[in-house]
Amino acid sequence: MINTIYQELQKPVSILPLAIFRILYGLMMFVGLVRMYAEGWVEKLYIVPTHFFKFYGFEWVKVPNEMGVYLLFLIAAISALGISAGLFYRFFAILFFCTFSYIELMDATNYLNHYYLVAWLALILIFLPAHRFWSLDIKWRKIESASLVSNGYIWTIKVLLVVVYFYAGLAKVNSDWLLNAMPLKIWLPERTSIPVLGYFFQFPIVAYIFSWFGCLYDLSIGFLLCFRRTKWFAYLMVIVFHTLTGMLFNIGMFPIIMIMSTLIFFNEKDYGFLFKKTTLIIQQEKKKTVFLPKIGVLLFTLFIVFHFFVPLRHFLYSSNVLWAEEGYRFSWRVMLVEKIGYARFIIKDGESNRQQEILNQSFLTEFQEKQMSIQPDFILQFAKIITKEYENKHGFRNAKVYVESHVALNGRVSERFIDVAVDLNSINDDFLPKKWVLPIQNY
Amino acid sequence: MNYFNRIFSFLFLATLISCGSDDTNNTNTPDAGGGEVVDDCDFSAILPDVLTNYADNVIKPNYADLEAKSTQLVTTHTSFITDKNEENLTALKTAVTALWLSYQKAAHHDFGPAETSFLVSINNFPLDTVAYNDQLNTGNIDITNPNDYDLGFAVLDKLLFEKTTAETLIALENDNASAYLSAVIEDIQNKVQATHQAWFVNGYDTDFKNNTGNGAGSSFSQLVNSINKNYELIKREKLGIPSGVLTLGFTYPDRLEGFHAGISKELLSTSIESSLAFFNEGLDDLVTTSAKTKNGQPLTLEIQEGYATAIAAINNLDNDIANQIKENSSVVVAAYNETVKNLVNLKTDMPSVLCIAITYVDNPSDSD
Repeated sequence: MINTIYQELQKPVSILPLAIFRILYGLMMFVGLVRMYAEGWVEKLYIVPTHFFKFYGFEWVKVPNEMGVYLLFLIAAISALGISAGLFYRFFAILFFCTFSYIELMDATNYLNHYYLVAWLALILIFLPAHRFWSLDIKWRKIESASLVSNGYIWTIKVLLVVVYFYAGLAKVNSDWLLNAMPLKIWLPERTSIPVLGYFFQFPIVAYIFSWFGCLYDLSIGFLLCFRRTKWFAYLMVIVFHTLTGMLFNIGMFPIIMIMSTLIFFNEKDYGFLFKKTTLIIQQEKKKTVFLPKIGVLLFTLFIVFHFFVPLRHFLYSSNVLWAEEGYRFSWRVMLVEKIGYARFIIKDGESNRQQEILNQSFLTEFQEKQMSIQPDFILQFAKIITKEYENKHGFRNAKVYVESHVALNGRVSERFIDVAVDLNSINDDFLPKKWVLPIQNY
Repeated sequence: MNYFNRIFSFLFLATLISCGSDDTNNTNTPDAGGGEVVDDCDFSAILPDVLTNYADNVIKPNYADLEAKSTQLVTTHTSFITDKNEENLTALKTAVTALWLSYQKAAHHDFGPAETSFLVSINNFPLDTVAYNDQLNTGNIDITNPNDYDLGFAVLDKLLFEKTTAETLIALENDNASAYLSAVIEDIQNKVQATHQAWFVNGYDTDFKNNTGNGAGSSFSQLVNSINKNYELIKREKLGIPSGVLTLGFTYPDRLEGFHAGISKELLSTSIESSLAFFNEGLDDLVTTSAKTKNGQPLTLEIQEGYATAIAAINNLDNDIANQIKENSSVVVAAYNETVKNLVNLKTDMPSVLCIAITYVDNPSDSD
């Protein structure tokens, strides 16, 4: 069986889908970055805030000054064009991956699953020979064009997309989503102003239909896209689903990214109707093939193992993943929760009776505060941020930080979120179960 | 046949079979009373009536009163300019106090036209004394920026109430002071009139009643957001900062609203009592409709009791809060703490059970 898989990975197939993917991906990334700039988000998210939240292990990522931030976006945008045009392809693919990832690592507040997906695709593209067809590298830099590539290259992207959909669907298999139609019951009535369709959103039954349809769609669509017989229908569903969710929710570039990326499931034959028979690569006599090296097969295996297990890691914790968010990120949990939180921090000097309640707004933007109040690791990070400030500015020593925090999940009344008796400075973030996050009682 | 396809078909089938029976996220065993059914977020049965009630029976009289009081202010000011005597000054001061108290009730619905006309800026406090002194000394009166703290009641507080009557009369003979006074009163009058007119002459009330959604910017969400915003202001500006809770125990009694006029307590009481009254004009019914309970009783009751406790603690304060803060701020801090407790109910529970996202500003981002 191993052998068969290996042969399947090495089977030469037309490079066309890969080239199309490269061109579209680069263009979308360019548009996405320009859009962030044009909306004023670069300023709001990275220049206005004075403090930032970090991902575990990436605390070293610093936000540069205003010029530096804009430069990062500029380099990323230019690199995206470089990828699309296939000019100095590998250089720009690496540059794009680095700058884009750096931007996303600067403030974990802005984490979105689709940014995570984009970063992974960028990483994959570095290793793919996607510039060996329809590229300026061939035209201007005399890089040899190829007509065939090992199937494994194309499968890398396919696997990732299947993983994204499937785990997004699996995450929806929970009682809030399926039995209570939450949080769609909150979100859909917000959209009653949409012409025609909006009228129906006032009826709760519609939220149930959307929830179940969404769950089944996510669970199945990746697989349906793989099969020859179902992929045309599946792609139609992709267009309908993402157009609809794009209209309904504030999800930015995600719908277009998915609609364009899933074109990878179509092979050259599927595109046949667009081209004259003679121009088809697979019809040509002289074919140059880019094979997957042995190391590529190994990387591909590791890649699959990683993506299979990482989204499942919440099973290692006993907490409710929607509530405590242990194992929540990097797991394709999209659109699952509507949370409202309120966190009130008290800092106490360890060596005097000085104490103070923190005005969160003097450290964080409203958006950061909103995100902080519902995510345990941010609450912990914020405690450290204020501790540092009070040690530096007010001479606090061995400061203790306590938080009164309440969170309301998916239409419920609020519950206490963090153990108020725990000094947050006595805790360091790690991957062990967070005992200081109180379990949700009413779920 | 493609090998991957075979593996994937297997996975796909396995998933379909397990779908529905396997609850991946519900790893916690529900407590004894758990499994409360989340309701339908459907308030359409009473929402139109609630909105109409707020527009016609709360906001309309509030703004009518505010405009009447601001007209009275302008009248007394005109008399005062004609004849700067003690009697006219007293009348002017009475008019200021009346308007100021009236504004406390209108502050809970600071959205729509109120936002457009920057009505909230007439009560910007504490006063930016540097900007204040600067304008008084130079006579370059510029109070056009609603984000500045050199306009509105805070200026009137200092100009009219800081000194004795005799001293004030002398001070107001000064052209700069006189011009500052006129500018501030005119500014207040303009903002009040603009808000009132936009609401009930130019038809915002109809828009408000017809906007029956629950999305950002809907009337429903504006009610919930604005009562919250003002409650936070009460907590932070009127209690927290003066009492030193938020400033390492250093107290700032002079940052109290109405410090010179000596009406801080009255403004504060009016503010929180009218917040409860505002809640009770329909938000209470909406919360009741959600049928949610907290601490074993209906959430509506929990909120009303939270208000009652906070109000009792505030009413328990000395009439001279500034002095109380100076002598022993712990009673004021206690009132602050009671006020905060109810903020949790208002800020997390109420929007959650009403299925409304708290948004003071647009998210500077997408979501997923």
